[in-house]
Amino acid sequence: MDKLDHIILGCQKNQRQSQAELYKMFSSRMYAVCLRYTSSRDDAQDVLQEGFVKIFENIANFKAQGSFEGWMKRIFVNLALDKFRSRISMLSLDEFTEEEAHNQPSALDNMSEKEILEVVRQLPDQYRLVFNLYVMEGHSHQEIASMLGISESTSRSNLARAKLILKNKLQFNASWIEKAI
Amino acid sequence: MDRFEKDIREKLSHYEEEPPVHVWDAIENRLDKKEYRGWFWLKIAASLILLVITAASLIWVLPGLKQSDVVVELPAPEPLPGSTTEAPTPAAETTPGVLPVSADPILAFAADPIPDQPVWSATRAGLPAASLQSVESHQAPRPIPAFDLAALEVSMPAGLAAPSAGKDLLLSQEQTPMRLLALETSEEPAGQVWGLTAFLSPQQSYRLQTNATSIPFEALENQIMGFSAGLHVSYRLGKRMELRTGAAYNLIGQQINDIAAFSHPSMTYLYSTKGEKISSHPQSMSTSMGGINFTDQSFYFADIASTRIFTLKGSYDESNVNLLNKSAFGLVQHFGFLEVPVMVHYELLRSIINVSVKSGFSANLLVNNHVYLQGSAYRNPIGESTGISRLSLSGTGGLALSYPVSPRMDLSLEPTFSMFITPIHTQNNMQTHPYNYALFMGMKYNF
Repeated sequence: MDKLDHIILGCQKNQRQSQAELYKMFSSRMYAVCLRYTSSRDDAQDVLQEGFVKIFENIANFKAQGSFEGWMKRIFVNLALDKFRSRISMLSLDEFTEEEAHNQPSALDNMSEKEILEVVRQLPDQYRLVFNLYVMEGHSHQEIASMLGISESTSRSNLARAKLILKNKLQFNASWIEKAI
Repeated sequence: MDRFEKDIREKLSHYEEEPPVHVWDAIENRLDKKEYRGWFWLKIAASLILLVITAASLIWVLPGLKQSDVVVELPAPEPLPGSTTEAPTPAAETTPGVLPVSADPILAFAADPIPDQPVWSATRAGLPAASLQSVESHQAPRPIPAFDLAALEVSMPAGLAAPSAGKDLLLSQEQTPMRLLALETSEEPAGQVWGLTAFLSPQQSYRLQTNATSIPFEALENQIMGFSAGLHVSYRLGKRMELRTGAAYNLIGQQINDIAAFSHPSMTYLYSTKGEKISSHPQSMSTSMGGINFTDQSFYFADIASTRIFTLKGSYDESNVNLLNKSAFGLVQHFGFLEVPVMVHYELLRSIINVSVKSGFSANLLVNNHVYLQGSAYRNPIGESTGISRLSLSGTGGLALSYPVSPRMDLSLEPTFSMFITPIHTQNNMQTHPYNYALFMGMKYNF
């Protein structure tokens, strides 16, 4: 039994020390997930707090058949989606095709992970959710449409628009950095 | 997935950032609260045990109430002048302290040996000592006032006629004879089968939530102090049983925590980000006791612990609102019910204090529904709760202690637990059942 299994066992017995160890082990990675899905740090911290409480409440139901980290991550992603689901339907969406987003130069090499994250976080709520679900979690547009209650074409359009915004911002940031150097 | 997507995925999937320390503090705090709430059923069980122990104590521990205290050593006093003297019965002669008295030697009285606390008892004379029946005892450090005699309840063995009313009985305390004038007062005063009780009851009000939802309401809501007040009419069904009904106003509710309140400078309208007036409040909220429909336009709320508030995007001017002191405010839901109970009181003990158990059901009609923004010296109605059942059924149980302050008036104190049997709010699998710990204080008029 490795260290993580011991900690999970302790959490299943509701031992506070094990809960603290689990938090210490995963909080930075999961905070990054929460940050990706939210535009404000307060929201990210809310989701992080909510998620860990939910994990500690439901850890007895975790079956050691899949990845524990994957199970945790799904909880955080679902909570982040819950937080924004009610707002999504309020966005009016223009049709936008993915072709328009192609052929934009990438400026990622010149930027730190944190800078890229901040640009992703500045995306409008729905673009950010679709982008994260598609690019980071690997969901299909059909799955995203069902998760967010939108059409597949809206999901595609949101992704394309998100990528266009990201490329423009990343390009601007990169050129700004180059000029500054 | 194109190269751009792959590059971003590659960069972001390895990113980590230390969260602020206060997040773990908040998680720990939430976990502590949940553990504390795990004691809920234990507290209910403890309350019931306490009720039983209290009842048992009142029945068995109060001095002078046990049969073994009844017959004691006492020198026989001289017969009262004027009483129809008859020879003492054999039982009286062979049972020291049992005084054969009165014209009809049916009853005799003896004093309890506790110093300074003589206890008067009635026993049936004329029977072998072993079959002497305690009638009741009564603490009487002074001559017994007439109405106190209600506490003298005559219980006769099967096959023997009860002593007839109106006979003169003789009491003795320290050799001083006293005359007990009215045996009939030892039974229910003739005709007093009806009662009218006015009561007021402070109550601790909260709710039980079955099945959790994704929002942890348990950690975000608190109990409040409510009250109940009304009139009950009672009808005596038998010597010990009483049926009660009536009407009461019953105020319950809960407090909602971790909400930040913002006020709009104009205190009149909220504005959309496009500068348009919003005709209805752009927010709604979910709680374990229904949703909240905000009607006051001058406040905007934010949830600082969860995701209970829904805001129509772009429907408030975020840059143009002022944060009120969020720690000093909370939302309070109030529900006023018109309660019509049907209850049975069963008397366990009749002494200086009468002790009864009570149990029953009530129909509860929702007549008042408000949500307040409440500070320490400030309360502003801001809307109402939605999704609350108009009519609910509740169950009640408890103890009733009553003290006769006059032949017709009783003062009563009733520790009571009541709970809604039907949910007042249902959301998906979650059902909400309010419950109260109450202390009824009332005055009852018998007629």
